[in-house]
Amino acid sequence: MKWLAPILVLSAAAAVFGAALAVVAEFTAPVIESNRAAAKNKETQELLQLVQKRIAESLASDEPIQSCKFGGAVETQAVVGYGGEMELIVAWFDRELIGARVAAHQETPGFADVLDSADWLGRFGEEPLDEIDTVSRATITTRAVLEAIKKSAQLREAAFKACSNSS
Amino acid sequence: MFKQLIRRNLWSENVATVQLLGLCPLLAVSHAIEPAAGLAAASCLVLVGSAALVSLLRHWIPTVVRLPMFVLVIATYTTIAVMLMQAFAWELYMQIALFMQIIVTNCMILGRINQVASRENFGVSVLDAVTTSIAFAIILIGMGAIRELAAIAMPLAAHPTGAFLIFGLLIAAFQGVRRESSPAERLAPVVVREEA
Repeated sequence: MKWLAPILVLSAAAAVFGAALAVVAEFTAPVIESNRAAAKNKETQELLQLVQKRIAESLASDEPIQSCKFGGAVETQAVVGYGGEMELIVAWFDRELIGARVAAHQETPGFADVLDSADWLGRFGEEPLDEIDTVSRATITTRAVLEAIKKSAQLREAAFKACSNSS
Repeated sequence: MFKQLIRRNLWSENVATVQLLGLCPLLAVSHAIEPAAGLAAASCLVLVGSAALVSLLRHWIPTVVRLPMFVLVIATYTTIAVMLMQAFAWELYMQIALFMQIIVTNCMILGRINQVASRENFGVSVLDAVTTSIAFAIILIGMGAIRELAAIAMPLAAHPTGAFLIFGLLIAAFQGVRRESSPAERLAPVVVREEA
């Protein structure tokens, strides 16, 4: 029964360590969740302010009122990047892209700089969507974000067309 | 004996500049002091905790499952460190997330556990782990400080390229001083050994 000892020791250790992790997780999970929510809330608030600014601009100007208005919207979606899922938040005003932020991600530190609002991600809403390209050192990350936003833009465009055709 | 161990771990066999272990996180997160200090603290927790536990359990660990057992212990501590940092230092965690998780594979830690903690008593193992952690922290935080300051004048220093250049210079300086101060070590290079 010599072969039994390693199995028993390793199994017992795994059970004990697993239990220890479960206890720590039990205590830290609520705090982690609130940290995550606070981070997401901060990014969302920033985008909401941008949307409100755009709405105020629109009201102040003499833009013609269209029948197919969607108004302001801030949408969250999960996008798969290089290291796993990222939480992408995108703000819209009608068909117009206002801005984008990433609340939580697991991309490689350093290369994830592109997700900073002062970096590549800040270009969304500032520049036309067609002029924004992926970044070569963070191709997978930036392509995932870019494709997700482009897809949303296409859906909005299609919805707008359907609406204006019917009216 | 303790004095010798401290001297060896901090100086003549410094884990980073002489043994050249644990360089992946060292080069990756040393672009500034804050992430460097965060990773140094987490590595210290994992190394000291694992060394203490393995040293206490060393007589009950069957030889054939030594490595799986060590990795299990290290992975448990790493996961705890990750959860604690996510809970109490969220901003810092977001900066170094991936490198926190790969503390599991840091060969500096597995090396100390395998060479020291699995053979020595509790006191020696913990002292070895603490001094190794301090040595690693000094180099890691020192690199962070050098790169953060140098980046003000030369942005390259904060880039990965700068990490290699500065760490190369640091090793050269360290080796130069080390061999100058103790001629005996000049005759017995630790890093490069010719195979017979």
